[in-house]
Amino acid sequence: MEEENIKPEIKSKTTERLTKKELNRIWWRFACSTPAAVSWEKLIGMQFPWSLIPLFKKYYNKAGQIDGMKRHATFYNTETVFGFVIPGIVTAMEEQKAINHNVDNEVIETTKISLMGPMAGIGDAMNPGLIIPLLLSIAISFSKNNSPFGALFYMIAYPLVVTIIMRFLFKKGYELGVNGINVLIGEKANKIKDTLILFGTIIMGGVAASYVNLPLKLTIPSGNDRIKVENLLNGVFPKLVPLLLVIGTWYLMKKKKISTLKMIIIYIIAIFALSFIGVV
Amino acid sequence: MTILQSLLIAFFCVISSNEFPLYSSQFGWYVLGRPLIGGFICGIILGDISTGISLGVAVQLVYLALVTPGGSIPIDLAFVSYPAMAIAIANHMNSGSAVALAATIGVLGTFVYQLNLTLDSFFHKGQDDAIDNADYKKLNRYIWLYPQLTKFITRGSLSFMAAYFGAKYVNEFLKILPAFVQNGLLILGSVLPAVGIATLLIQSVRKNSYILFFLVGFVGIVFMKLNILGLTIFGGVLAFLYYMASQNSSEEKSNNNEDDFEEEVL
Repeated sequence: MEEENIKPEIKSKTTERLTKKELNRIWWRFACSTPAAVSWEKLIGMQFPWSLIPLFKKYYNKAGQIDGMKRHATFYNTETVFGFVIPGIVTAMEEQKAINHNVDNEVIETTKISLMGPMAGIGDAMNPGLIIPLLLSIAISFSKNNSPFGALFYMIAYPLVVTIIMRFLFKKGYELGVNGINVLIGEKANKIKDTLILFGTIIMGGVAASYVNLPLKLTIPSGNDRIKVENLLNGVFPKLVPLLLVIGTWYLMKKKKISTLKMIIIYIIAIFALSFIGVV
Repeated sequence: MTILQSLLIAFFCVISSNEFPLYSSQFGWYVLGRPLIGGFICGIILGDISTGISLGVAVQLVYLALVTPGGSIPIDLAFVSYPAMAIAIANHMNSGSAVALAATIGVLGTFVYQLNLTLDSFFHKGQDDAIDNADYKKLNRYIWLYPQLTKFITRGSLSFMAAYFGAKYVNEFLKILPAFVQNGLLILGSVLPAVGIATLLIQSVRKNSYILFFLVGFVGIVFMKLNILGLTIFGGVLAFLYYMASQNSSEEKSNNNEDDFEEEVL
């Protein structure tokens, strides 16, 4: 199959496997180059040909190196940290292709394309959805009395956490290799993805309860007096207003497909209007 | 703000942007670009760390959960964390005005991001040529040097001007604002996180009934008085139980695949 497709001028240099050192080098290249040449056309796609250069140089003559880089200079986009399993899988596939010539170009391309969406879904729920708010919440609690300790904590903790995840996933992806795609988009993987996303959703509830606030100035007459609506609500369901606000916003954005930016503008206008009539 | 201070602010605004490869944005956008860290660093540059941290915390709360799906960013945190934060610190703003200023500058900043992604498309020709000839030096130039240079020119110059001129005039401008606007600015800071959280929920809550899990987290904080760390453990246990339950149910009806349809967010 693949043997026929190999261009005659492409020559293999060696059949030994990638060493630990070389894998490490490829890892660093992927870890540093994500948005180096980011554009609307390819988004972060150019990280692939550049990061895999050590691999192509090890296995191929010049024609093979050119062929390899061309194969990867395509559109690609995912969440960097949890998407790191994809470079791992692709590195293993390229290695196997170079040594045994039994991996089709289409298989590599399909792997990248079919995994980048699901991994972006998991990654967005887990990284900006969970790890970052969590570490930032801890950092903020350390910085409550204007101490820089919280900021320093985050500057060390976040890179450390994501580095561990990125290294682990690259290694796992490399070990899975050609089988990776079946493992990652199978039924079990979907369940794990569902579980992680659900976990993120629970934490989001906590984040909303902790950080969303809409103080009301509104009062209603009660006998000769006027009582604050807010105090009334707090007796029954504290934080009811923020809860309704978040769920209402979510529902509205989903139903009417309102973008984040538009929603922010709506909020700004609404708050100024409410402030003008003295409700908030 | 002196010229040197403004230059430093502009430099950080470039390296902390979503399009700059500082450890694949994992030390740029996701660390230096967070308003808390921006407040800290602007505080160092301007010699007022405690104001920097306090405004950093206030603005950070708004953007605690900012997701950037598919390379589209709703607000440019690099502009929020550097020129906006520096202006706020230099003028000793209250947290509400700082949040409002940050939102304004941050939204304008997204145009710079879009501009840079457009400009980077022009380097693909050079990259392709370099690949065709296996010219690695040229490839490095077209991937590393020219795009980064472009970002320093566009983003750097605009953030420098924002910091240098903004600091002088913003305060005068805020003084003439009527009371209800100032009150509104103050409240926006505590309301806007709702939008960030809602954005995230659109991705994570695929079936409407899953919003119940959001409620669990909410109630955990409000009624059970957990803190966020306690909730993480509690939520982790719940998620684990859900996983176990879904494993069991799939063993019972192993051929039922109707749940496999899902929305993929690129």
